[in-house]
This record gives sequence, structure tokens and C-alpha cells, in this order.
Amino acid sequence: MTEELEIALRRTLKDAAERAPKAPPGIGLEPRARRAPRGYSRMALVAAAVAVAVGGATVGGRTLMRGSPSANGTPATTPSGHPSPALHAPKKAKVPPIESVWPKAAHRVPRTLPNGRKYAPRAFIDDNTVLVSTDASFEKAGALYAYDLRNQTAKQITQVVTPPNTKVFASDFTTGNGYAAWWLSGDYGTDIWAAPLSGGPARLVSQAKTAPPSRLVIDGADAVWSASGTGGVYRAPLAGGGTTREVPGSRSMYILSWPWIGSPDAYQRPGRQEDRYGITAFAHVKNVLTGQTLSAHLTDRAAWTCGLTWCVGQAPNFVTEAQRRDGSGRRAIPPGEPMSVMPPILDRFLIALPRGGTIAVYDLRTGRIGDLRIPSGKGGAGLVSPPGPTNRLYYTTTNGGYVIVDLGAI
Amino acid sequence: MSDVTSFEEFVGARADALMRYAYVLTGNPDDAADLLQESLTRVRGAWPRVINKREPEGYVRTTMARLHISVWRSRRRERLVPEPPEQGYQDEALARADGDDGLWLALTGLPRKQRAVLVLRYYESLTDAEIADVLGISRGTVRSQASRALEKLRTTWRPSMTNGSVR
Repeated sequence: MTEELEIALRRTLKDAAERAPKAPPGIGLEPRARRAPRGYSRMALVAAAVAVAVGGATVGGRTLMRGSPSANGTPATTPSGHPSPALHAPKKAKVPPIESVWPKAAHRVPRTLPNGRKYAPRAFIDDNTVLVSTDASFEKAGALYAYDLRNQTAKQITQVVTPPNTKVFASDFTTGNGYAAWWLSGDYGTDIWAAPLSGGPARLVSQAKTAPPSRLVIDGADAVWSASGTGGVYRAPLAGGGTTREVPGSRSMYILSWPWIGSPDAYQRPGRQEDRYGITAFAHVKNVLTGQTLSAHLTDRAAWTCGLTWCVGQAPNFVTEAQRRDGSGRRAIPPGEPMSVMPPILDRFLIALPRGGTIAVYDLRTGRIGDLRIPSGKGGAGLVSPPGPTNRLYYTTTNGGYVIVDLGAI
Repeated sequence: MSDVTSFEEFVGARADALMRYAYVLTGNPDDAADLLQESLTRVRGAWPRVINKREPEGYVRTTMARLHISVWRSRRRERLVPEPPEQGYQDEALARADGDDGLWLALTGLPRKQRAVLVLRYYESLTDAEIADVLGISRGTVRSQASRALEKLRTTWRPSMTNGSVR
């Protein structure tokens, strides 16, 4: 049986490879990103030297390449029609370990709870406590604990209920107002669950007929989520047993960072980079509590994703840029391509993947960079990203344990 | 591949083969293109080192496999959530038409490390020791990931009696 399966697998993979699409033309080539006009390198070196002198890991902000747009092949045009010279890729920044840049943000902890169970960090409950889950079976959350980072003790909160025919196990754990909330989905639709952090059985908050949440947050006594794909923001009481209501005026909108909602969602855009230019994720956002609205007025052509303050995008020359919604503060991001189309985390941090296996955290507010990947020797370091731009928890695995990074402590 | 090969020449010659590899690793064209793009971008910076010290294609393939199972997974996961494969996987019809017993579809349900181990074992035909080296994990992990993956596939896989190539 196993042998048959192995033969079938070989054939399946071979067949799949044969129908694989051709590589997109020019893939991997950045013809313009590395060619700088004479004098640029020197300028960058001076800027880098100044930056180092000023603040260690701080990297100089603007690296505007002045010159005719034709130097970049196609003139950079913008959604608003104001041409703007392309930014040149900045000198690759040196990225020191996060522990040396933001020592307060990194917590080294063992990989098992005091009871010996392996666990996964999920979300911060407060500055010193992390919601963690243990597995019932592979990648299927079993129980939730409150894990104390200071004395490395754990207190069980609840058991995660996984209904039969579940396809997506408990995901996107979020905490707030004394509750933990999460969702899972399967043949039955999408379920939102919650449990009091003080301990107690998990309660079914909503059996939504919507698509799985693009974001799930806690607002007061309610769980609030937006449906991926279709948009629409919904809320239901965390205590369970209540009705699910659509938030007025939220049709086709997605949660950016509660109470801000907007459209389009970052994941709604076309998959191919070329098709994304001119579509700005979260270009228009609205505060559902105050009615205040914000729009993006960006000065450059790129595949933009906006947070509340900052927008990040990759320009056609593969340079990753950031600017504020009003177009100010334009800069190229030294560590390179962000790993995610997610808006900046906590409205200020980008995660990028410079070469050499570094996982860089770039602070848009200060320009400082730290490497999330703490050297771990054999086994490498994994990285787990938070489910949304409001989650401050990242973690990497090391030989003996985890390094839990609290972006909120920076 | 001689040591005078430029990065551009290498990509020109090997992009399609690498795309095929990216496709079996990721399971769909968009992620394959993204994975290849990201891998080549990273390799490009290290190119002088790559062509001097290592066989470039092996280096690129290793980069792709590692990227796919490490940080890359977060992006992939973010995509999976709004658009789970079971809600309209674009290769579904093709996979069915190919009479592959639904294995290609079933592979989409595997965690990426397990999938990568299977791809390296059954597509790249690497030994477990080589897989451990490529993915930077222990041989024991390779074995456990492979057996978990096979076990999971076996729950849904039904050998096609009408298909001559499955005995």
C-alpha cells in the first residue's frame, strides 16, 4: 500500500511539473535596482556612515535617486498622475540581532510547559503573559494556557473544542477585555469561539455563515470580525448565545485595525505583482466609531498596502518603499522585500527578508532594524507571523526553546 | 554550469525548470511564481559566492525549499485563509482529469514541511539524509514528517483501479 502510494506520488508530482506554467518573463532579474548613477554609491556610503554614527542600527531614511525618469525605463507614474522619480534600492543594511537592538522585546523561554507539554505562543495577554496552545494532535489546538514569561509558569484557561469535519483548526487567537477568541471552519461553516482568560469552558460565539474571518478582534463585550473575500464586518457577544449582527456601513469592508475598517483587503488583490500596481489595499478607511475617514494620496507607482499611517509597496523596479498616507516620509526600505502584504504591524513595523536568511524587523518610526532570527545553530529558526497588523507577538524557534518577540515593547 | 555564468544567463536557462520545482513545492502557479521570484532575488545578491563555491542550481533549489518551509509559510498561510483550496482549487479539474487519484489535491492539505519532504523525496529523488541537509532539519524529522504525510494522504487516497500506472 505504501509502495503503491509512493509510486502514485512520484507520478502525480511529475505530471504536475509537466503542466507547470512557464516562468514569468524576467523573473528574478532586477535590471534597474542595482545600477546606480555615478556618485550614488558614494552618497549612500556617506549617508550610511552618518546613520551609523548617529544611532547604531539606524539607517538613513531617504535614498531618493534624482534624475530623469527615463533612467528607470518607464517613467514612474502615480495613481494621482504626479510623476515621481523612482527610488533606488538602498544599500543593504546590516541587521543586528533583535536582542541587541531592542533587548526588552525579546523573551527567551523553554519550548515546553512545566507539565512537559509542547506549546505554541499565540498572542499577548499583557506585557508579561502570553496565550499559548498545546496540541491535541498535529497542529490541532488542544488546550489554551496563560503563560507567564517571568517565572515560566502556565495556567490552563480552557480546552479548544474542535467539531467534526473541521478543515481549518483553531486560528487567529486574539485576546482582549478578559477573553481569548479564535475561529475555526469546516463543512459546517465558520465558528467563532471565546473563553474567559480567568478560566472556564469555551463558548460558541457565532456560527457565521460568512467566509472565514480576514481579521478577528475583541471590542468591549463582542467579538468582531470581517469576512474574507466578501468583506462585511460582524459582531457577536463573547459571552456566547447572542445574535450575530452586521456592523452598519461595513458592507464590502475589512478590518484594518479596529475600529478602522476599509477596502480593498490586501489579500483580495490579484496574485501577480504586475496586476497589483494601481490597486492600493486599504486606500480608503473609516473609523466605525467616529465616522472619520482617511484616504491615501501616494506619489509613486507600486503595489501598495496601507496601514493607518504608513503605506508600503513594491515598485516595479522591486524596490520596497514606504510613505505616509499623505505621500510624505517617502523612503526605500533598507532590508528589502517585505515578506507579507500585511499592512505595517502596530502601524509601524515591517518584516522583511534580506538575503542571507535574516528576518528583519524594520521600524518605520525610527528607521531601526533588528534581526528576528536569533542564531540557533542546528535546526534553523522558524518564524511565525501574527494573524494581523494589530498582533504584537512574533516568535522564532531555537534549539532549546522559543524567542518570543513583543513588538509592543519597542 | 561554468563559473563564468552570469546570474542572468543562469536564470534564462533554468527559470522554467525552477518554476516546475516551485510549482510542485507550492501547488499553485501564483505561489510558485512568488516563491521563485523571492528565491532568485535572494540568490542574486549572493551570486559571486554561489557560482564559486557551489553548484548554482542546487543552491537555488535549496533556497527555494528552505524559504518555502520557513518564513514563506506565513505569506502562504495568509492566502490560504481567505481562499481555502477546497472552495475551488484551480487545478482541481485538471487533477481529476489526470486521473491521479486526487493526490495532487490531497497534497494541498499537507503542512508545508511535510509537503516539502515528499517533494524532495519523490520529485527530487533525494535520500532522507540529503533532505535533512537541504531543509536544515534532522533525519529523524525527515522520517517523521514523511510518515505523517504519507499517513495523511493514505486516509483520502484510493488507488485508481482503472489507471494502469498504479499497481
